[in-house]
Amino acid sequence: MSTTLADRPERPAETGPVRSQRVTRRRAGRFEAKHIVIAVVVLLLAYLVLVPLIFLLWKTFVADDGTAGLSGFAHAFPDNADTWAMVGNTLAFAFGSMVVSMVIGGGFAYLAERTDVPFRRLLSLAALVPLIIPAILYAPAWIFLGSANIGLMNNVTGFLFGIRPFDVYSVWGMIWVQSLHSAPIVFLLLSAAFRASDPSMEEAGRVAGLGGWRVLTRITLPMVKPALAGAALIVFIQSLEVFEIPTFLGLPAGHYVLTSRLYYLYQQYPTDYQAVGAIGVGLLVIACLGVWLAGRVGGSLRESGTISGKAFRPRRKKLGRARPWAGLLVLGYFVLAVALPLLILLYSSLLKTYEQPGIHALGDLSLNNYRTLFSDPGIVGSFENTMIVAVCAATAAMVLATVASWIVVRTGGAGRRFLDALTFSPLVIPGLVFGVALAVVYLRVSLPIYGTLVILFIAYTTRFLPYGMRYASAALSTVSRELEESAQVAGARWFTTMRRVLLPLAAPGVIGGWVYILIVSFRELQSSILLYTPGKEVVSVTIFQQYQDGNATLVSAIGVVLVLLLTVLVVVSQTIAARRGVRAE
Amino acid sequence: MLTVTEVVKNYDPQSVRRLRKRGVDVDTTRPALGGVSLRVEDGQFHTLLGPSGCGKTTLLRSVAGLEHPDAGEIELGGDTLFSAARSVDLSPDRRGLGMVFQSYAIWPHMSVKQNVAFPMRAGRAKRPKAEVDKLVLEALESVGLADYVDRPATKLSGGQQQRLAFARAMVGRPRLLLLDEPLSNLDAQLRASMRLELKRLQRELGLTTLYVTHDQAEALAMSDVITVMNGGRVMQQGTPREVYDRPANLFVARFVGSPNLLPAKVDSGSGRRTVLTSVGPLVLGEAVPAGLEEVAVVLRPEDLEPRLATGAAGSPGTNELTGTVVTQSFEGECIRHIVAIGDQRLECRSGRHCDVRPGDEVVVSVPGRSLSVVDAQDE
Repeated sequence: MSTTLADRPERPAETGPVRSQRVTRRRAGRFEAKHIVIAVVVLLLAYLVLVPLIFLLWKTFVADDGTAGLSGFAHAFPDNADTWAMVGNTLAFAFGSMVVSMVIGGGFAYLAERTDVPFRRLLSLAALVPLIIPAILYAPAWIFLGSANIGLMNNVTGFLFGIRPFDVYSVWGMIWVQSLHSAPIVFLLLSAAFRASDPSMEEAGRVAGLGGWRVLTRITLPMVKPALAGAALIVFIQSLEVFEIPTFLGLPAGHYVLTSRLYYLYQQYPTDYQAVGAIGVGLLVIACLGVWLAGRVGGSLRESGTISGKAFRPRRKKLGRARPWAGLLVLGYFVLAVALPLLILLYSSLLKTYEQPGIHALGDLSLNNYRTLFSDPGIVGSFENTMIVAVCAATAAMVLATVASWIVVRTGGAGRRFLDALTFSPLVIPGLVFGVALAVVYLRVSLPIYGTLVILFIAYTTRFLPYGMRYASAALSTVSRELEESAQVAGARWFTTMRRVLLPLAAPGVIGGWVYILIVSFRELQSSILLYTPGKEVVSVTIFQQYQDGNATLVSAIGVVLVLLLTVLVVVSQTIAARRGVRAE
Repeated sequence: MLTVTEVVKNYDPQSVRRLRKRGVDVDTTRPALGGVSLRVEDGQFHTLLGPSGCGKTTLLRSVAGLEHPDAGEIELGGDTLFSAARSVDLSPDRRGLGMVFQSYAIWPHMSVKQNVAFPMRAGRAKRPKAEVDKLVLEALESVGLADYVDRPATKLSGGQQQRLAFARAMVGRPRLLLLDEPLSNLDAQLRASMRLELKRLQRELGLTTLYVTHDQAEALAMSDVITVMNGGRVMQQGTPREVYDRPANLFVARFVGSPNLLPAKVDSGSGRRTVLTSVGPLVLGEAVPAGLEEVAVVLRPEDLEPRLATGAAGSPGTNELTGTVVTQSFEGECIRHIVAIGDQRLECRSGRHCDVRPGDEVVVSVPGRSLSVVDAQDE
């Protein structure tokens, strides 16, 4: 409102003098609580997002002795076969995971929304996988299942057919595990898109004489094209920035990708920040290219997050004779993506050292790992640290996001575009890159932040701001502007209006966002791994370290506890979402 | 008394977007309000009437303080609410108004009572609790919602929510009550009864009221004074009767009612009381003001009753037109005929017992005093 008056184009009106110059000056002169709050939040957001990026670019292109240049790129990407292999791996991994998860997630979304496939509810259950089984647990679980030596699946096929075809320590293995882990996102986004597209369009196609296949390719898919592009973009960026899976599955066999290479370089002493920054900038450029490409076909990171729109009554195609086979497919997927990884985690958590499931293993089962876990101050401490950081970051991110989305939703002008872009940009910044950027900032700035939990708090707050924005702006846009205006006209000050009218109405969405950030905080590894301080680990870092130290079964036990905790949080958040029943139109 | 003086407001991008989303064609080369002035006397029911995008809601919201004009002054009872020249722009909460929104804007997380009490509990004009309770009950009684005090506001029907919104807007006896198309979300029957009730309450409480609507029937039925707006300008100001009987220009004539408009020339030889049309000369009730030559004659269908041509002459001062009935449609409360007089077609509305039929030769009487003329050029 009044903050954006300065942006208004001044137009000579034919009638009467328009004294907008004077008007602008007058409003700027009047100070209100509202303006202070807005100014503080905007400055904080700009600081959180822009400062690390500027430092990163500066450190990448300017050497310590002050000479600007591209030597960082030369260090990071020496002209040899390894570099090319790494770039090839990165692209193969990112594109491969994108394609496979689009096929899996998209296919099941179509089955679930447009056909009478059985076991539909299993699919929505499987959709929770990325939330309750973080990648850092999914990777070890799949090592137990699919490694060449100890993999359970190889044992089964070896016993039945005498072959051991699976090798999870490979680029294909990485693609498989990553796809299985991110297919649910595609499933959710495309299910929503299918639900929101009118089935009578397809019926009109059938009536017009198109066959089933042509209806699918000419009508159904083009209708959900923006959602397809958006989902592909999200999965692509995730696969680009994921660190756990390439590290756990790729490194043992010597397959580097950009993220694991960045981590490797960062571990070298003294750290070559120019080279690390160069890889970071490389990742950022690829991610931005992805955003640009998806944007050309209507996909957007920002829009894809909000699952909304009017739902149509589904008209389901009868699968007929194919129905049992489709059901089998769903069952098989559920077993592979959910049941097996969880069971193998549970099973291995009961063992001292991993051994194949069987009669002989029964005698070795014990709760020792759990005893260790709860008596080890390091592990318990890491749960506490995560909780502290997560609660603080969720609160800060939701406060910032609520004010920011209020500005975006309720005020006009050019400033709001900028703010919108600013708050959503962390989505494109890979976690490791952001970690490097923050490290660079707080190693330079002489504030007592580096080496404390505060730096993790800053990292989480910034990285999860976009999620907060999604929830907050969805919540605020369901509250009609007139509800606020009527409070104002009734004599309520801005603060009173916010406190008594807007916040109570937006609360379910805001709390939903808060819980969601809590959940994703527990799985955050990518920036934590670069920013943690020994002795002040968070859960994900502890899991990573324990795995590196060879305590795979202890990792499983921590994993089981973590999965239980996350399940509780997910149930809480879904309950809130379901109860968002206050009619606020 | 509310006085609005020469208020100018340019379009801001946000409201343009909002209007375009509703399918309204916005011409951004002109201002949303191009120098609007009006005066609402104490106790008056004053209506802003006009099509979508004419600026009526912008003006109402400017009075409320929800929009910020670029020039002009708005005063209420001697206090300046807005003045570009003196750099005054009170925020809405300092203006002491009551407002009913198109969507009612009932706060869904509060009970009926909390909704009504809000202006006196959370607003600037705080009052002691006992007094608030008494006033809330009074307000709810006057709109017939006393039995619903503790009910959640969302558990009310559309009509009840509307009453609640009204109770909330008037509970503190605001100096000015603003109503933004409050009846447009009700179904036709409820709308008619709420119209009467609203008017009754307004008169009983003596509330000075500024009312926005695009519904001419509503405006005519309820208002003391109507301001007809179009394109951000005032087209005419007057009592409902003045606006209806003596439209100031072609726009008002077309927007209020749906009259037949006949292009005509003033016959200066007759003391400017006769106009020449394609259906022949028509004698008017009064002389056409000097300066008008090319005019449009406004013939209201409800003033035109066709009867079978029997040869008997009509009463003096009445124009008689002879023609043929082309179509007829029975509409319950009236019958609509289209009568062809030469090349001109006239729409007539007659009582339900009129028995002329398509093909009949008819005479249409046009009483001179029910005719008015507007400038044919002026739009």
